[in-house]
Amino acid sequence: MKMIPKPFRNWLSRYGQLPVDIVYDYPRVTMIGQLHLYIENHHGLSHFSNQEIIINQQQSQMVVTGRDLVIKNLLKEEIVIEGQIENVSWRSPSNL
Amino acid sequence: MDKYYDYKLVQVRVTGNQSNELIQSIAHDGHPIRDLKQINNEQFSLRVTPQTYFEMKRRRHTYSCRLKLIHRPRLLKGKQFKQFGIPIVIGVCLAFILILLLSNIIWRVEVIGGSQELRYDVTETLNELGLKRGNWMQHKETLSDIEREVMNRIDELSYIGINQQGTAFTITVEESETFEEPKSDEPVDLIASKTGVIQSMFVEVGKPMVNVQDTVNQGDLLVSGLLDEEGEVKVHAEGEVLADVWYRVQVTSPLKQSYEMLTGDKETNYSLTLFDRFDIFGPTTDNLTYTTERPLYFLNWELPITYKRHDHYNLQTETKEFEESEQLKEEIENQMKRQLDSDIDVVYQKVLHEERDSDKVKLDIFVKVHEDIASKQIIDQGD
Repeated sequence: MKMIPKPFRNWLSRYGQLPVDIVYDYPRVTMIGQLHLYIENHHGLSHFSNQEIIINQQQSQMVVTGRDLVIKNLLKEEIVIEGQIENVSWRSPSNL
Repeated sequence: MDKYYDYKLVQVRVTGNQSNELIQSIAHDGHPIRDLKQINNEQFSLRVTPQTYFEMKRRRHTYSCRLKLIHRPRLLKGKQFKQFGIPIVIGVCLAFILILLLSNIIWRVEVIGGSQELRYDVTETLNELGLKRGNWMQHKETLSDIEREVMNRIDELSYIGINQQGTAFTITVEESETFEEPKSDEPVDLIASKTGVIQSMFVEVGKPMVNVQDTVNQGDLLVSGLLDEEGEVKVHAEGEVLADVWYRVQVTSPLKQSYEMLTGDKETNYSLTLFDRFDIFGPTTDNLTYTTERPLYFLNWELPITYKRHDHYNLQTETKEFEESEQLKEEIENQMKRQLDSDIDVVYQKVLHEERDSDKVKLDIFVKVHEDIASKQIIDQGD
């Protein structure tokens, strides 16, 4: 997908009926209540603590805050976070 | 698969300022991490594969962290044993039982030697005696019994050897060569073996020397093998001379007789004995119980466990009374036949003397029978 120029990607996702996360190489985030958070297609762990987890994405960072956060599983393309998730937010690197 | 993978992981505690960075670098290189937790500000606990743990150990100096192995994988225990150990134990037990069962089955019976018909006969007999493929080892007779029984049943057999190798039996048989006795043609006379009155004669070869109704004594010449007077033509005399012969037979018969008889019903039960001492299923010992013992096998070894079969035979005591004269006669005839040859004709019989005791009768009987009295005697040729 990376070989395809950006305007075409847009067109593909709109008219080709392909999933956006694959076309744009974006992460797919699934939440189950406040308990679980599945993130597929991530770009590495940036920071980890009880209250805050920062995950690198393509051009931004994803910040997950909460209480008693535990990374249940950390694989090359997948993260499973457990705990009391209170907030999920995105920020661009310039904000850091 | 996933659960078993879980049990191979080690739990590591990372302490240090830069422990976050260490974990990040490990994760960046694609090492899988599980249950990452923050214990306090500078302490993290996580579970990794042993390979990842060694990789972390190599990098801990660059990040100035301390690593501690909290939990290493152990032998399967408790819940894990329930999940992975019990099936293995059950499998091993089943394998043992299977081997035990298969070790007690006859796998191969091979008959070697002799002609094809003989081998077939031997195989049939062996099948009857329980030595056949697929049968239990315990259900066959003992090898020496089988050898004896087969020798008794098959006349053409001159030798049988049973060789046991585990659960395979090789039976070597040898056929006896039957020699036909060459017909002797040396010159013989026929002489009387008993004293009697000749009733009929049938001479095949030879010159008859007596007539019907002649009385002959024991040793008298009946048929001569010398055909001419000079004694130059000599033949092998053959023929039949039937004569009346007298006997005096003494017969004693009890009037009452009681004997034990098997009713034919039998009860069978089985037991196992350990070390010839401990009975696992208690047998009921009876005086008329026939017990057969067979050992159990495991592969090539005999186990100290013995399989026993108890056959209980039912007895019945019967009393027979010889009161009617018919039965008495029968008994007397039987006894007479036992004393004389069984195939002779009784022509006339008379009771000479009868003596009755309380439970016995003693008879003195005169018997006249028809019997072939011709017997061969070699003619002395003088050389």
